[in-house]
Order: sequence, then C-alpha cells, then structure tokens
Amino acid sequence: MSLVFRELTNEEETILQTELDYWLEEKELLSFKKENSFLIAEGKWCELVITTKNVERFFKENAQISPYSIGITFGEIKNRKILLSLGGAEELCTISRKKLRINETAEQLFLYQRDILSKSIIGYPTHVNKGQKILVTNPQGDCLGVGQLLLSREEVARVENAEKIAVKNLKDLGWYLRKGK
Amino acid sequence: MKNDNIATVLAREYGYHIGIIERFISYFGLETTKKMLEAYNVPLKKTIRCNTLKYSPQELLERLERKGFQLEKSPYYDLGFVILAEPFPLGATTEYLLGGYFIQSQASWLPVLALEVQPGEFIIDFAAAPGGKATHIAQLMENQGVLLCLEISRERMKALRSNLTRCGVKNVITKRMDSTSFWELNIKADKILLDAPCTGEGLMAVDLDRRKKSVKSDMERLNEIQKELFASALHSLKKGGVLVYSTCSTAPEENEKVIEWALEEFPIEILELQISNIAPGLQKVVKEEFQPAIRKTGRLFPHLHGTEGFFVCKIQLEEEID
Ligand SMILES: C[S@@+](CC[C@H](N)C(=O)[O-])C[C@H]1O[C@@H](n2cnc3c(N)ncnc32)[C@H](O)[C@@H]1O
Repeated sequence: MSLVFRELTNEEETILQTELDYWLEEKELLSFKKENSFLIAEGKWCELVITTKNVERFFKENAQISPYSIGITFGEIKNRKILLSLGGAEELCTISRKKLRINETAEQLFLYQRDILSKSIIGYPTHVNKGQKILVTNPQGDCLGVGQLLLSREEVARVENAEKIAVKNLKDLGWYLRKGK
Repeated sequence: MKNDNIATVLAREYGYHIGIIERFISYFGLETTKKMLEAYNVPLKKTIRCNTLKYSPQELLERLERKGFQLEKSPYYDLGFVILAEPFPLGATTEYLLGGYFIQSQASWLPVLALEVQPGEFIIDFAAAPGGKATHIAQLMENQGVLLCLEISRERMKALRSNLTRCGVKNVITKRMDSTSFWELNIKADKILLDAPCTGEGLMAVDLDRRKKSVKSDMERLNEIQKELFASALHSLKKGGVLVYSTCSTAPEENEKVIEWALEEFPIEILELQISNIAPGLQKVVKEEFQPAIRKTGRLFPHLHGTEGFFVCKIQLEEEID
C-alpha cells in the first residue's frame, strides 16, 4: 500500500510538541525544530517522518512525485502518542539529556532484545522517574535504542538490586539485523 | 594454437562459458584475457566506506581496531578502508548498525567521486537500490540539498530505505518507479547518477555462477534499458548539469558503445574524470572505432586495479532537452 505524505494537523503538531518537550530542554528544542521538518506518512499506520526544510519545500513544489519514503521515520502516532523509531531515537540522542549509559557487556545483550540489569548501568540520568522512557547508550554515547525505567536511580544504586531488571527493552538497534534487512 | 582453440582451453581451465572467453579475447586480446582470468580467481579485498554523517575516519578506525578488526587505509580514497582481519562479521557491530560505515567495493566509490557532489545540490540517483552509492552521495551533501532516489524493484526498495535510515540520511525522497519515464515529470536536476543495471560481467571474482552463463540474451535487453535510462536522465538535467554513468561490466556494448550512441544523439560533452590510475575507455572494439572523446571515459580492470571490472563516464549536458 502506498503512503500519502502530508503536513501535520494541529492535533498532530500538539502530539509532536508534547513528545519533544519530554525529550529536550528548551534551547535544544528550538534549534531542533529550526533545523528539521516533520511530515505525516499516512497508510495502514500513521507515521511521522523527519526531514530537512529543503526536502519539504521540494516535496511541496513537486507533489506529482508521490514518494515511497521521505527522510527518516521518526515514530508512529498511536493513541495520541508517538512511539519513537530507532531513527527518531538517534536523532534525539545527541541533544537529549534523558540518556542511560550501559556497559559493553550489557550493550551486546541489549542488542539481542534483552532488558538491562541494574549492575550494567554506568550512567543514570537525572529528571526522570520510574515508568518513564529513556534513550539507551553504550559507553561511547552511541544510541542503542529506547527503554522504560523499572527502577529509580536510588534503587539501581542499591547492591541488593544488582541482578534486578532496571530497564525494559522497548526498541533496540539489533532490529536492523532481525527485521530491517 | 588458434584463438578459438585457446578459448576452449581457457574456458575449461577457468570454468567459464566459452562465449564469455571468446568475447574477452576479441575485445581485450589474448594476453589481457589471461591476466583478467587469473585476477578473477583472486577474491576481492573486503572494503568499507566511512560514513562521515556518523564518524570521522579516525574515530571509526579506532573503534573497529578496539574490537579486534585490522584495517588499512584504501589507496583509492581517504574515507575507505581495506579489512585485513575480521574477528566477527562486519555487519554485526554497533558501529555498522548505527550506519557508521557501508560495506562496499573500492570501485563503487568512483562514480560518486566523479559526480563531485556539493552540499546544496539537487541530485537524482536513477537506479538507487540497495543504496550504496546513494548513502555515499548523501554524506558528501552533508544532509543538505535534495537527493531523489529512484528504483524499480519493490523488493530492493526496502533495502534502499533501510540503508538510508541506518546511515542517517534525512535529505532524501525515494520513489519506486521505472526511471525510463522519469523525464515525463519534467523535473530537472543539477546532477544525476546512473549506475545502470548491467550484465555484471565485471563481477566474475565475486559471483562464480556468472562464469557459466552466456550473457548474450541479457545483453540486448539490458542495452535497450541502459539507453532508455540514459535518455531519460539527460532529459531530466538542467543545462550544464552532470550525468555520471557507470556499470560493473567490462563489456563495451554496455559502456563505450552506449556513450558513443549518446554522443551522436544528444548535445553532450564527455568530461575528464580526474581519477588517478584509471584506465582510459577503449578506442576500438574489433573493427569498430570510437570517437576520440571516448578515451575520457574510465575503466577498472581486475588485473590492473585489484577491483571488479568497472566502467565510469562523466558527461555534461550542453543544452537543456525538452
Ligand atoms: C547496479 S544496481 C544499482 C546499485 C546501486 N546504485 C548501489 O550502489 O547500491 C541497478 C539497479 O537498477 C534497478 N533498475 C533496473 N531497471 C530499472 C528501471 N527501469 N528504473 C529504475 N531502476 C531500475 C535495479 O533493480 C537495480 O536495483
């Protein structure tokens, strides 16, 4: 089924703004929005794509093209929320502070869809709470995917929790090997 | 021994279809054919191109070395590396999954380098999947300007999209279509890459099955498509725009002869390639002699360059075509 590309409705703009407000501080948010453009790719699902201002302009001037894809999929809009894609997570990763760093052993396991144990965490972000989403990175800061916090910063620090699952794997880069080919 | 007897001997010795050997001998002569066959028995070196949208070449080198890979800089390109030791598959590192590099032969870099990509341009890749060259173009555009990728195959479209995403390419639109009719959209680009569908006759070291197949039946069909794609591409260029045409074939039918045909049909000029060590295009094939300008096209040979057999040609459009 081919996709139809269009601008965001007001409601979709609000959904995007809420998502970006969660991941980014004000300054980063402003420059991120200035540098990028967002469009909706509508088909079986409603996808949000991220591209450049130039491409958006080109697309509007050449609507006869009816593209197969534009830019990178940023996420899927479902139940008035955005489910970040790997591409979306990576776009945010360099500028978001909501990043959890894990060690190299856990990196390999995470890429095999495994959750993250407390003992594997080498950097826990501030300003996030249990139940919230975080971007998962390796020691070098590369974006490995998206996780959901099951334990708080204090709980992770406790020795008795070392073997407990601290982060649930929501999406990881290993997807490219499993399905993305 | 007469050449046809020699052809039979060589075909048997190297495991090729006799027709391929006969064609090689008639185009390149016996001595070069022997050298080519010998060179095709040496596996190609595995090479990667660093994606500068993600890492600098130095950072990539350090990261992969830390994981136990051994690499050396490619003599052809400062963003390219030759892999000397691979402790585990190159396609399974975090750096690969993050689009930090593309596993790609050294010859594949040349058409993109010949394009002399500038960041703000509007560039079309006329036959884009799986995206090896498109992702290369995008990184040289620094994610600016507009890159339009066309591809006919539904299946290969998925790999194209996945590679573009993995490599962090945001300045791109992909479209599934038969590019022979792209000109009908009346959209004019600064530059076009036509990495044409071809017999793949230069890939004998990579794909051993090809050695046994006669290319004759494919050649005619592909030749038609190559010319149609060429014409459509020229119609889709601005005045002064640049088209780079390439194939992974050594067959003059898909290379010099296509260019010779285009020179007669369209207001174009062949530009110098500015690629050191590249062999010039053939001036003569059997009894057919080409225009002198054909020498400005370029060839890579397995026995001379240690790559697959490859052809590249850079063309400028002098007058816009309606
Ligand atoms: C040599 S491959 C391109 C490789 C690509 N440039 C890369 O570097 O990854 C040729 C491609 O042209 C596509 N193709 C063949 N005929 C086509 C047509 N008429 N229109 C568009 N694409 C076509 C094939 O499906 C194939 O993917």
